[in-house]
Amino acid sequence: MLATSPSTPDAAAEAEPGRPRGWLRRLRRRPELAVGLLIVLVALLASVLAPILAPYPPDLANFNVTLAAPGPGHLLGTDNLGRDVLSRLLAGAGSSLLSAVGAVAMAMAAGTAVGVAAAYLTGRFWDDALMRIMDAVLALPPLVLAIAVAFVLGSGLVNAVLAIAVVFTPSFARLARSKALQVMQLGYVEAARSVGASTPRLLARHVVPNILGPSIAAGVLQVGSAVIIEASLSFLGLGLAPPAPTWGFMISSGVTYLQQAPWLVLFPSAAIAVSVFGFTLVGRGLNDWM
Amino acid sequence: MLAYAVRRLAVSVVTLILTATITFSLVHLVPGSPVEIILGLQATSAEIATLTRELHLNLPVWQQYLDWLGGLAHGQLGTSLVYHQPVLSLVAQALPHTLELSLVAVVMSLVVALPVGVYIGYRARTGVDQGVSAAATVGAVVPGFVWGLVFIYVFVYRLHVAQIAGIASISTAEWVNPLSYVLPAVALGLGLAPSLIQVLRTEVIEVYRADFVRTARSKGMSELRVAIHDVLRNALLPLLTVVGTQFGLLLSGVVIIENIFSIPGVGNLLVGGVFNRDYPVILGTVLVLGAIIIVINLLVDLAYGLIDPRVSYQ
Repeated sequence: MLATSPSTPDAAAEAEPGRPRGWLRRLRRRPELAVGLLIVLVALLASVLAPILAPYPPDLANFNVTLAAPGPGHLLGTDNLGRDVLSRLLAGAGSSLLSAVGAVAMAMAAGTAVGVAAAYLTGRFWDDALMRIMDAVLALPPLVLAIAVAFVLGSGLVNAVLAIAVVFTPSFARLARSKALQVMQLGYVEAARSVGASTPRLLARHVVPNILGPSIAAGVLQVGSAVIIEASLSFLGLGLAPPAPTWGFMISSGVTYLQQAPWLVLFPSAAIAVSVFGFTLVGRGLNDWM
Repeated sequence: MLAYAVRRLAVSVVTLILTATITFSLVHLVPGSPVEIILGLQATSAEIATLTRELHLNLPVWQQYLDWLGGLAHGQLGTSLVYHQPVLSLVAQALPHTLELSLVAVVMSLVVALPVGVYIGYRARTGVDQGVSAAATVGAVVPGFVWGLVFIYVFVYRLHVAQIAGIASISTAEWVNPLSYVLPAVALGLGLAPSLIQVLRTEVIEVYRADFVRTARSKGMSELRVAIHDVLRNALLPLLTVVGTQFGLLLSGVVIIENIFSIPGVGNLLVGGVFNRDYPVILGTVLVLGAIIIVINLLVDLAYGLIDPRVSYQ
């Protein structure tokens, strides 16, 4: 059968790995993944380009137009200090999305390290001990744990990211452990070991690269949950320090004016929902792909 | 079964002790003394010394740890620094609200998810299925607190048909507008129902392929009877697991929903504790919420054996 025949698009794509045409064709067969990627890319671009795109400085107060409804001058309206909601939304994208991505990346690194170590030590005390500790962390409701960690560390960007990272570490550890146990059964690991590969080399070159795929897919899904936890922390006033316009903080300060100015709550909520939707679609799509 | 139950219980106890240890470590492994965090930078050394003694932080760490575990074994969670009441009695007042809210949310999610999940599983890959699945995905990505705020805006501020429920609940036997009562639970359940529907759909598709479904149909049983008697009963077990694993997320949502609707539950106690820098309250509420999850997962695992005799225990 011809490699370009429509019935084997995957084979065609695999025949020319890395070529944009192959990737695009595979993407076209997964509209959900494509839509998700589009949302995530637009959101990340918007957060990076916020200073250029924003029509006003995010903290510029203008007491002539407080609580203005969405309209031509202020596309998404203004808040109680007359600050432009659109500009604050764009400025908040950076802290809201990047802190979620950073937290999940840290959790993935830490969780994978723990999981691979546990898998390597399987059958011994430390495997059991590590995984029991992870189970105990998992027993705490995610937001509750994040609140406790954020409280102990104090407010601030880095601390909020750390708090969220702690929450997500155990699930990555569990995933990495089960995948690593599978991989270590495979012939090439046995082969590498029998030619005398050292343990660090074995884990770093043969085990970890082969469990990264599922971890990354799970990670993208988790970014959505991390966005929600970050927003919840900010909403409760436990996330980033107040001047930073995170989406959660915008919602919590908008709640006071919910009756007169629902757009103060509506737009940041929509921003959260749409970005979580994007990360969910990408995560699911990657999961199916692999 | 009994041997399994005992072993499963032992695992839960170990997990609970570890969870308590982690909660304890939150205070003691982190650089900086809790006293500094509680009192802030302007504290005098006399204040620091008093609070250090009050919290028993002058004792060696291992002794504090054993005291804390020993207290837990006696059902003591310490004394609130702000309310000067035992944390246990504060939790005891708050817990019914939290459990009631979660339970109503779970029941409502199940009431919606069971028929919907079975139906779209039955009509898999039709327009109805795609529509409901898409709606479930959208429902799952909107955080519970957003639903809560939308409900408050629509039902309280615009339609004036509900109030923010506050303290009212069945357990206090106070009469409330039924709509005000269910709104927080609906906001909470909207996060749970989509995942239940998705799992049920997958299971139902699987079960419909089974031989016994063909047998039941060939005996001339109606589709409705097959759906309820054969398919739903077999698809229920995985659903139970999902309720167990999703309970952590549900309790996360509870914290925010209680905050929005000013329900005096454990979540609000925790958030209040954070703002009051009330260490014993924070530790106690975190531990109680963790214990709820551990107990729920224990019950789910034990219920497995009772519902499905095929489940074998190693």
